[in-house]
Amino acid sequence: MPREIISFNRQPQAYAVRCIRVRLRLTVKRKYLWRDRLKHIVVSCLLKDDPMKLLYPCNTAAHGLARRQFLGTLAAGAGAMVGGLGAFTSQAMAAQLKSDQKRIVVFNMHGGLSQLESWDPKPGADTGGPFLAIPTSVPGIHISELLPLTAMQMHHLCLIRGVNTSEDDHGKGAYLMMTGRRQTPAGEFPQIGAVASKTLNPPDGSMPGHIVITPGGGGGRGNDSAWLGPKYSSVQLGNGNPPPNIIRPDSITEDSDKARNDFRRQVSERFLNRRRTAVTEAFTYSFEQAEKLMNQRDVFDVTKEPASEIERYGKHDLGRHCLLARRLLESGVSFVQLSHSNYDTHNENFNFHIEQLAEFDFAFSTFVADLASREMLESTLIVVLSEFGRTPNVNQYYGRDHWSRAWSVCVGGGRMPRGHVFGATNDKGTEVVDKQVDHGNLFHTYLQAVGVDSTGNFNVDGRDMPIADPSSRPIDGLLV
Amino acid sequence: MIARLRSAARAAFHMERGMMVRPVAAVLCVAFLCVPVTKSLADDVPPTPPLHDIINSELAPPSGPGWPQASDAEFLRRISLDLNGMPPSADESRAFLNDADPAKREKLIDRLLASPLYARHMATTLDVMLMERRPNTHVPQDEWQAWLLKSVRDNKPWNVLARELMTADGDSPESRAAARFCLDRNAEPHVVTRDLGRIFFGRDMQCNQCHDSPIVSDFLQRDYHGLLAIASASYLVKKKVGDKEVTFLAERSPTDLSFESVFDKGNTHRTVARIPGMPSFTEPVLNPGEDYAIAPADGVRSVPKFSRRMMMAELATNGSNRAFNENIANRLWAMMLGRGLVHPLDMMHPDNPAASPKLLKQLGERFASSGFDMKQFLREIALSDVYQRPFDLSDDAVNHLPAAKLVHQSLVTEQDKIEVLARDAASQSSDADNTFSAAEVAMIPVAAETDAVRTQLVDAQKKVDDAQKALNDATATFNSRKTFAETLQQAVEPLNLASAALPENSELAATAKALAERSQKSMAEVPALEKAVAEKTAAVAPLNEALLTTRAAFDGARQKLQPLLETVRNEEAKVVAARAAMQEAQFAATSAKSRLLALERIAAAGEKKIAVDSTVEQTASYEASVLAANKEMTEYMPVVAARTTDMQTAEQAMTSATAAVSTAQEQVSRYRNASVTLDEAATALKKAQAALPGDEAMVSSVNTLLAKSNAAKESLKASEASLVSASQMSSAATGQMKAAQTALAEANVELKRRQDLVTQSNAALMQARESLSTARASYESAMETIPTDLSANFALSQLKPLTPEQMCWTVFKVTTVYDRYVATEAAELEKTAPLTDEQKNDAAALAARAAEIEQRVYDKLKGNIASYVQIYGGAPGQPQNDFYASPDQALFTSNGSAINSWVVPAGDNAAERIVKATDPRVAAEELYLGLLTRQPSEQEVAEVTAFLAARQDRSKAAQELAWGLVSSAEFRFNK
Repeated sequence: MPREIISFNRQPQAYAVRCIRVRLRLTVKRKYLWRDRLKHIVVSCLLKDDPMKLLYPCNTAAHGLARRQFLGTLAAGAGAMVGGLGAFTSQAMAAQLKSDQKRIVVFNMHGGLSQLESWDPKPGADTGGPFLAIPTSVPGIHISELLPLTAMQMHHLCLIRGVNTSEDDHGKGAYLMMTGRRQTPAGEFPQIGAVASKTLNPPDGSMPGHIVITPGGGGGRGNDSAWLGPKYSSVQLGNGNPPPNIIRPDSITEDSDKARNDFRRQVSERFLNRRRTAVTEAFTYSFEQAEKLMNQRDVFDVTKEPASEIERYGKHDLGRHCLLARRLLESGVSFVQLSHSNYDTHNENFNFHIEQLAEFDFAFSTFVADLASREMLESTLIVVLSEFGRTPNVNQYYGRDHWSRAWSVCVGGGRMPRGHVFGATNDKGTEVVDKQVDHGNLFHTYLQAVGVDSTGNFNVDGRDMPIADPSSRPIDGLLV
Repeated sequence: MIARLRSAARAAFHMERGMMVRPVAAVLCVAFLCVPVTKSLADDVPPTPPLHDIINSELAPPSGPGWPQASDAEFLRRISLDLNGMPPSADESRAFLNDADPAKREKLIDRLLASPLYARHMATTLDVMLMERRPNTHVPQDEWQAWLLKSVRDNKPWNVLARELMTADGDSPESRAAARFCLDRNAEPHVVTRDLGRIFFGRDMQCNQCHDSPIVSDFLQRDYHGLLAIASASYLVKKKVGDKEVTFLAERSPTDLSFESVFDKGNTHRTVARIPGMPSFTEPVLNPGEDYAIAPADGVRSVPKFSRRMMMAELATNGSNRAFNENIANRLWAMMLGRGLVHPLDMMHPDNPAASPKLLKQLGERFASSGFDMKQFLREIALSDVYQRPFDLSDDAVNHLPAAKLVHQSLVTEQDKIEVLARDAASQSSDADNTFSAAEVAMIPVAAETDAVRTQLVDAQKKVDDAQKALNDATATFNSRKTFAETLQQAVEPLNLASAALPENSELAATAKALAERSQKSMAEVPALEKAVAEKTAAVAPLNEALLTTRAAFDGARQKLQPLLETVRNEEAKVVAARAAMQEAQFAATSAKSRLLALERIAAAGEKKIAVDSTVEQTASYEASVLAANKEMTEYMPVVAARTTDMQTAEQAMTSATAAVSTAQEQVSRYRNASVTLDEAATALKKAQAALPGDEAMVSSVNTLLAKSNAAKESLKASEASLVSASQMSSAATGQMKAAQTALAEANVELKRRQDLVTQSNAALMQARESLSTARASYESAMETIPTDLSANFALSQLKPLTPEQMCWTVFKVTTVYDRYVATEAAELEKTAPLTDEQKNDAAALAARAAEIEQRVYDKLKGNIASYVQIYGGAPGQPQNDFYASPDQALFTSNGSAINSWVVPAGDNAAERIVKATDPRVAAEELYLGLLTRQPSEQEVAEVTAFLAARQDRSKAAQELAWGLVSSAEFRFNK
């Protein structure tokens, strides 16, 4: 019997209830309770007063407000303050208008997100699993019912469904997705974040150009810039904590800090006058950058967001990290990478994806909506990737194994088309049948989407190093 | 005179060292080493000049003699950081700076080289150079460090060290540390190939894995694969030792490598092992199966009869490989000077100009002939003027720049010749390449055929081996079964007899029966086994025959290949020679060209300096003439004033004279009129009298009239006379007036002249000033690149960022933490293991004690290095000498505990001395001497004084000052 298809934009309440029903049906078997998370979903589904609006990217309520606010600020003239939300919005807008700086944010679905439970569902097929495909804000595009909120943001996103990377090893797969090249023994390649930092971050910017929010603790500097040098290595924010040493120890008063820094500048300036070189300039400048960074340390502190914002993103780690990512991007960081762990579901693929994707859906959809409402999508590329997808075949443990021959990557923003599907797999999801792409094409395309000529070279120490794999090229006919 | 004596003394000392080196070198040459070295040392050749003199003459300053030297303080910090990895303490600095001994720099160098810190610093430098901070996967860091440290302490020659690194397999405990080079690269052939090329031969041929470099014409795919043929023969093997799994290195028997360029697909090349600058290895031809001393198997370290690794180690390190020698010379040079003679260090190729290719060549040769003695080599570099050049481009130095023109001119004349040589050499090299390629093309199909036959031979051999094994097995089975059956048979007889003797024993009868049955059965099996043996024997023969045939085919193929290989080898020898000549000529040409350009810029800047100076002079002279003109003008002003007064007086005189004339004229005319009128009246009256004669009244009237007329005539005369005199006076006044006018006009002209002069000289001054500022601007823009040019040519010192380790140790040293630990450890040792009086006078015992203390302090403090490496180091496996500055470093300095906790006043450090000092000048001196190894300038003293006056809490202020210097640019760099 054909299942009833309920469109959320026609019957949002019925749609929400349907989602709950599906989820409850699937989760009653689980030992732990899902009600809290489901409650969020219900609430968010029901409270979006008029989801119809979301169909039209340029007419969302938030967008309208922002635009009015912007015009209002202009009308009020310089120096006039606009209180409340307006002040915040106009500030963000001003920051954006100030520069054409482009940004990239990467969601690394660690372990290998199942394309069949997310971007490329095959309901009804013997490989399809138990979940339905639901319609999205873009007529004709369906994604897994595990992503109901993301479905409402589909008009901002683009699904690349014909990915074939021919690499089923976690380490190697992650390497090629992050660097756009296959690992070679004799040399390392810089990761997308290092490349973005080098090409997109303003040279005089105070914020680090390459930030990786790691799921666990730790911190410090990553080892991901290869020959681009440590300057472009990631600053790692362990579990979203601020970078190390960003807070002045209590033992040093502000007064004392100023006195010692004045003295340092005096001494350094005299030394620089003896011989001014790029090296000495960079050294002294690093202290200025550090000072700016310290002044901006609140950017790293999501607790500065109103409680309602934290609520909107979800109180779990990923929610916090997404909110942090938004704050970072807003304050001029050119690359942020988040991880969501762990999708390596050799056992219990379906239950795990319910759990994981519920978190992801909630935080990610809010993130996309916020970027859109802040008019940041033009300048910000969103990439949701993994090291590979998961097998169409369901194994005896109700799991799916590693699968790189036909899987999906979700992108949005920049020059990516909105509300678009590119490429296709066959009915069972076992082969790419249309517009096949690989990691090299994707890497080129990410960069092209933010205005970087990926076919060019970096000059490193007098040597020309190709920005992206010179034997590959950007995806034809995708970018707008 | 003194200088000459000193250099003679140095030369003598050097010779003595050279002689001391000889036995060491001789010991090293046990097997195959240093043949040319011992020869050159043994011959009675005239003494060569000490290396530092060669350095000085090859890298003479661009402007001839008189170039300034680094100050004592600058030299002290520089050499301490370069040889010991940390600066001296405040007291050590003070002692050195106050020392009046003219030989104190040389003594300091020797003291630093004898310090245990030299071994530590050198071991760290070698560690970073060799492993580039790769993680310790198979060999623990402590074991590796200890081995390096011991090697440096023993002053192990570089070639010996390199040979150990290249050949160690890690199978024995003593070879494990040296095996780290390959083991912790996981023996990955491409990684090892790249790093062999970079670290031992100065050539980063990463791009040449797939093709000849499109950027560097001298980096060839062939060279890469020559090294890869060595690296790819080695592989990792694991075995259990106790309960631990140990990984070590094994080697396969060599095979040829085939490769093709991705730019030229289908065109195959072959190579055996080869190292840069040398022809292919002469590898023995061994039949398959006969090529291993220990054949490969699980957990076994296979050993081929011919080892490419051993061969590479021998050929690279025996002193004859120029690339090997120059690479290490260049690297040690860079360690001291902050920049290689060729830079980057792994880009040694003819298109990358060297500061002096001749010096590089000599450094390589001299280093090899010294027996690869690193300590001696560093000492010679440190002694050179080139090492002791200043950081600042002082006025004194700038004044020398114009002289670069002469050097430039002398080079220009040579340049054309050098370029012609380079072109010729290049075309010869390319001709040799072409001939070689033709020979290779002829050889490759035959070699491929030989390979195929070889595969067949290996197959045939395997078949024979298998058949032989089967035969052996069958024979063994047959023999054992047969023996068994026979033994049984022999046993059956007596048992039957016994059974017959004891018929009532049924058990015995049953046994006998069973045995008889068993025996029969066994006997029945034998013929089948015998037949199997016969079959297997029969099977071996044809296989053996086939093997012989294949072997014959193989021998035939090899014989066919042999002459072709010979040709290839001969052609290759020509290629190698032609290429070496090309490299040298081309290298000379590019280097000379780059030097010419630099000299041109330097000379141009020098000339612009002269232009500025002469314009300054000109301007000064214009200024003087403006002053003079102004003076002249001012001086003339009173003259003009006087003449003006004169003129006014004359004018007044003339006015009054003119008035007198007109008064006189009036009088004259009045009297003339009166006289005429009276005469007319008199005449008329006379007529009337004639008409009326006798009228008395009339007569009297006439008379009165006549009298009156006469009186009038008298007055007229008088007035006419006064008119004449007035006129005369007037004309005199007019004359005077004219004269005064003329004088004034003249004065005005003169004034105008003088004024014009002022204007002119002012304009000239303006123009001169303008051209001065133009000249200055042009000079300044010309000077922008000059410090870089000068330091690239080692006329000025480089700015060397401290390595993470140097940062760490320097912070410990300048905060006296290091010295406090030394004191503690020394006291501890003195308590637990006091030196005897005899030992206290024994240099060796004292040195051993110093080394022990150093080791203990190192062990206590080494845990701190990691945080500096994390912040300031490069990524693992990447070059470590690139400088970068990032905000996280600044945050580490500003807010991290690593630095903040050490700058608080304690243990007699600079901060504490500042707190104690009552005189701010003393405080400033302690601060600068303690942290930057130099005395403060007057301005710096004033700054410190003002700072201390403005801050209330003296202790905090001292801490702030100390932090200010530790975080300053001057501290971050060694200059």
